[in-house]
Amino acid sequence: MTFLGKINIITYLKKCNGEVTGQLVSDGKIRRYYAKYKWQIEPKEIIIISKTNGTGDNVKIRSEIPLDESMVSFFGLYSGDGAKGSEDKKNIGLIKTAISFSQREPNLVRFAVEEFRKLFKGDIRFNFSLGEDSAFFMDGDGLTLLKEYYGGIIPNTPLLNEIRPQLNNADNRYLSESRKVPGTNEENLSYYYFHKDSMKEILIKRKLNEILESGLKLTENDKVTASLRRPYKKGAREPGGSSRSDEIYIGGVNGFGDFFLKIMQEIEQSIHDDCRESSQGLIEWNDQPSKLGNQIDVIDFFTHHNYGSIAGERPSFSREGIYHIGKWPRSKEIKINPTLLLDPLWCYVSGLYLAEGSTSKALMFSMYREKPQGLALGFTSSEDESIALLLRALQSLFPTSDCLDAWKIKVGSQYFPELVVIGLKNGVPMLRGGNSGDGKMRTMEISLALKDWALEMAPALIPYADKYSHVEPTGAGVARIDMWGSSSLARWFFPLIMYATFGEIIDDPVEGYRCSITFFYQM
Amino acid sequence: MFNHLFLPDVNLEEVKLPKHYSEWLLRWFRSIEQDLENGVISSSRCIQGAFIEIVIGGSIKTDWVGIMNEYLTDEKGLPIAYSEEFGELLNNFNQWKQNTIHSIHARWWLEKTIDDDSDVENLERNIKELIQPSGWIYNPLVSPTRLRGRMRAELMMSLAMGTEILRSGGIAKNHEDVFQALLSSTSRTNFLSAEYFRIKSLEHLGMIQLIPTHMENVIEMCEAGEGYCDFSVTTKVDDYMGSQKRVARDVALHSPISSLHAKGISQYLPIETREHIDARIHSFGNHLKLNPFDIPSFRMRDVDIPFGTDYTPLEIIGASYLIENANDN
Repeated sequence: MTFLGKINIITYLKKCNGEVTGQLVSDGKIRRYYAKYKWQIEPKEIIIISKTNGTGDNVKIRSEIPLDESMVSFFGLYSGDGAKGSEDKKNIGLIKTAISFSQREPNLVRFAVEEFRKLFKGDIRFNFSLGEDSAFFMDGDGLTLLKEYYGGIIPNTPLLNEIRPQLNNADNRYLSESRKVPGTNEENLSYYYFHKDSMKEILIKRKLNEILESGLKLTENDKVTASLRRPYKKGAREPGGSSRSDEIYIGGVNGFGDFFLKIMQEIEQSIHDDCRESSQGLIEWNDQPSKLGNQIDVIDFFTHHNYGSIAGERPSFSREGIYHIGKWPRSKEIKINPTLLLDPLWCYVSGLYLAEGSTSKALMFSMYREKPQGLALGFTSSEDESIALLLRALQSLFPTSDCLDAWKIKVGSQYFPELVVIGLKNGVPMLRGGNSGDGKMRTMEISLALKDWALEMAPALIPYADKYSHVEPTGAGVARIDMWGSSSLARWFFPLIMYATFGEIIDDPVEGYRCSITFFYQM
Repeated sequence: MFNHLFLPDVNLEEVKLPKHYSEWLLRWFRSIEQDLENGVISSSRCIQGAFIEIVIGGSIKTDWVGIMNEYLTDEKGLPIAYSEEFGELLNNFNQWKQNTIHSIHARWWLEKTIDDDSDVENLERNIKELIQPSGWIYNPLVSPTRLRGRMRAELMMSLAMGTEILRSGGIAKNHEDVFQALLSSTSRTNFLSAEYFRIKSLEHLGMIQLIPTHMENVIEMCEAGEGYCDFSVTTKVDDYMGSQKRVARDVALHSPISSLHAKGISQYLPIETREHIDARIHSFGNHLKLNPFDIPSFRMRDVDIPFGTDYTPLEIIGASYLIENANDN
């Protein structure tokens, strides 16, 4: 473990007189957060922080929090998977913050919970929640689970007016919506109400198993809950389709969300700007971030270290100029830097990639035990800082020109009307690719018209401008950049980010990751 | 008279270009001339280049058909949308060779405009082969997307282009039944371009009686800024979930092309509705006269970076027409 710096909680609170505020840009929204805190100093360098307006909890925290590799990685992970807050409907542009975390991979859940426990010294508790579309239980694995639950035969679903004589507003809204799915809205709503408790019980059992298998110890205050959505309400488009969402809600820290966001932002900003101290002084590194951290001998790491082996195999090396040439069995040669500094940038990006990278999380944990298939490097983001940080981390290991194979722009269906207009302005229709329309956009004029938007939004991509591939219409979401590198890079990048995040916690990655789910409902 | 489906009512020969517009169009033209030297060309650029030549010089001066023969024709002699060199503007875009309806129409329009009918029969045959069993006209080899996932504006634009070519060749009648059934059973959309191109198809087929009812609602909901946008933010609905998505930060923006589409639809609406639309379009023309480049591009929510194209030759020519039209009133 290397102490890279610290979070100056008490110094910062005194400097800003308890007023914590900032601007957050995420998903194309520019929003702000604000909270005023008071604090009370306790023995053993502990302080108790609470909001001056009397809402929220009394949060116990150290006055100075050391930043080691795993803590920096944790904030990277939270930057990707953590809640940034929802908009206050009474005050547009202001965020109502909460500390919660969306992740289903059990080892990452365990890691995040353990880091939360390191961070907060008081009695914090966790609510592990699993949400699912009830259409999942209408076919396939979900239906099998439901059958098992009922002992082999699923009872017939009664009519809606029998099971639910009084409909609420959400029911009525659901019934009025139009979806191209099997069954009527009435039948589907009836199925939902009739099996709701059974489905919930199945999900809770599943989630609890995953948590326990990961080795995470629950306290008596922690809870596992499940929630069912009305069929096809979100994501699932056919019977048996899944739209699973996993959340961890952290109790005992209500009101601390604004402060937490500030810490995360100042860590990210100081790493991005490579400044020893963040702009408000909340973060203080031991040196300029790019000069900090453990130096890794890359050759030695992949030749001897536990984390440098994939499924029992190791790469071979040769030399070419300043780079070494590395080659994994059955893979192609890669130019690689002989040394790597596990600096705050690398640690932060490690967490960020574990959260946001398009690689299957399960694969990143199971690759130590079994030969991985389809290992690939990919990352999607709508924010320049995240893209810039990832590219800088890759460039610290590989030659700049090798870091990216290509990038594209993904645009959610909400913005298809805008794409159509861009086509009309250029005298062309919007022609989609793939059977369901979510393949490569065929209309080049539209793809080319969006290239400048992407390069202005994420200038870090300018060196890779000629690797822009296309626009990809997709199901939902704000326009964002999706980039990917050669699958050969993944074998070098992943062991090193896994080591940066877990190296000090889990010594042997083959045995250390006790639970790795490849299919989320596998019993 | 030089007119084109994209810009209803606009006689390209008679468009009076404000000076700043003609300067902009000439700059655009010079930029594609440079690309052309390297074979970087698309059928949409050819059409826009020809438009510019007509509005500025009164006639087509470039051998666009020759350029199409050289760069925009595949090995079977069919028109394609992009040259191989244009395809290289995107990384690894192997799908550049596209025999699309709009590339066929671009070639057909240019040949008709310069009175060179030598290849027209081939183009008519090409369109006939692309009529799908449903009646829609598209090339599934270019875009294999199922009907449900295709954009309404794309289907209607291609149908309008296809029926224009078939009518000109006197062969639209051979397919009248299938088009009639299709258009009669296709619901009204919430998009001006889709409805405008539907009307053009109905005109080409002599079936204007199949115009959907309450088209005035579409035009009314698409009022945006000083003129009209192709869509209304309030009707943005997610394709898959059937629910309205979060659109609080999305903005519909006025566009000369969309405003012309509204005008194109309005001729089939009651007189009082037409007068309201005309008045709004005149007012938009006056606005453009004072603010000629107020033809904005979209933004992605709060981020102040242009998301896609703002003005193009089509928008500029459309804007010139609107300004001129406003001056007349």
